[in-house]
Amino acid sequence: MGLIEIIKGFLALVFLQTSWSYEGRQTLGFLYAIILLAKNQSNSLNQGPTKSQIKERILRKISLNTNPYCTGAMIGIALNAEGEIFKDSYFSLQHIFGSIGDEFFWHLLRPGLLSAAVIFVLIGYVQSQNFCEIGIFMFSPLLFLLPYIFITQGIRVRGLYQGEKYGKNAAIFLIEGLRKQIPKLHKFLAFIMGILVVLIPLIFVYNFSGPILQLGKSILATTLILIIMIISYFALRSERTSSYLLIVGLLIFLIIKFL
Amino acid sequence: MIVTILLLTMIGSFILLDKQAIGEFGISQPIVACPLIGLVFGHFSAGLILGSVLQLIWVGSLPLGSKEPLDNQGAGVVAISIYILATNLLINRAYEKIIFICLLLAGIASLVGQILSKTQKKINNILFNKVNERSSEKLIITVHFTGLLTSLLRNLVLIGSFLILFITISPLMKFLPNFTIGELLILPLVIGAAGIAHLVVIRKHILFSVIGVITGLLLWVLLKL
Repeated sequence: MGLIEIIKGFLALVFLQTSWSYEGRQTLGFLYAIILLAKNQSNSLNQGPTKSQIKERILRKISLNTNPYCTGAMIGIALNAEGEIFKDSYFSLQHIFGSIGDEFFWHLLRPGLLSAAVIFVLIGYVQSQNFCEIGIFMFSPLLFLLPYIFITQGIRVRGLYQGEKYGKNAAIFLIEGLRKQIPKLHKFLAFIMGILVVLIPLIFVYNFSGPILQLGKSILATTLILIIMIISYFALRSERTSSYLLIVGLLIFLIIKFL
Repeated sequence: MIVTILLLTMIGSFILLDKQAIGEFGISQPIVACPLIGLVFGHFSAGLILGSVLQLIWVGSLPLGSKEPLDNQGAGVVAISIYILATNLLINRAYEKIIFICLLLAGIASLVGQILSKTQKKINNILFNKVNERSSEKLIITVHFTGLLTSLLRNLVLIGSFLILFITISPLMKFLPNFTIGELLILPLVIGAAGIAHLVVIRKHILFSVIGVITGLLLWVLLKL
């Protein structure tokens, strides 16, 4: 796969979820990528399956869906000269990529990096007590954005390249690679959570009672924040609760202010 | 004012395409999108505050499988757009009151955004059903990229409707009590911390959580010395 094919492949991957629907899911995105990347010539041992063969195969096994950052490998494998797409096991790959990819990207990497960026903004705030003067910490969004783009898009392009070259073995490399990193990311997220859980109440207590010398106010503020945190923790078991907690919490706060 | 509304709606809608239609690079996440839109309109710091505070609220709402998560990206863009519009529109710029309204409407926008995303995907279903094994490549590409249009429309409706809603309710803002920024930001941050705690298997990684707590305390002491 040459540089032009990799650029074309990257473009196809960028638009892979453009037409995501409940019935077709990523199928049209896959088809678009295949149209852009697959060879037109008739099939031979060295050329891989043709566009129309892959198109027919995908539409027969309709409704492809996997983690968007693992789609590069799926498409690469479909283009592979050994014709992996004609084996039934190809379509089960989407479920493996889906579960490992969702755990790695959605559950761990993204929250971890986002929390780290938020912590840096908070550190800037603690240091200056003024959000307009947080200096170097204004670059905090890049702390999330740059590693996230590098990792996610790197895995997309590398998956496409390796999938086309090594077929199903590339999937095994990718799955193993992600699986190895998951325990490390769990530890990182636990560490970040520890920092957040202590930093946020401290900021609140400091704002509420000024220097933490006013013991009575500080104890009251700490107790209040811990109660809200515990209520939030248990309430967040349901999917939509975070929005309801925010709306209801703000309204209660408003009523208290009026009183 | 109309020009500002149109500009905010257009810029926000294009940034929100990153949510699913284009790339998922992370640009639409509130901590990036809010300062970015703020930068365009000269409100970078406000964008950074709002983005950071809103970011963690929906951290536990994950797009697993076909599940439609709450629209945290839409909420972020709506919040900063309202902030910018309010600072342009209101003569008495009580920033704390504006932030209160931004947070409240962001919470509602996350729910409305979720419903709009579901509707958009149902429309995409209708488009998808036009494709079959005999469809030409041209038809597949056309149908596929019509998805960009449905996403853009969804974003325009979401941001536009909340900006109009804000203009409608803005006269009521004078009745709001006075807040301090510290008071306002704590609730979203606490919900965010609880959300992160939900993602961590605390019993399994208690050691790293404790190390995090100690690091947080040390950071605080160092910053306050």
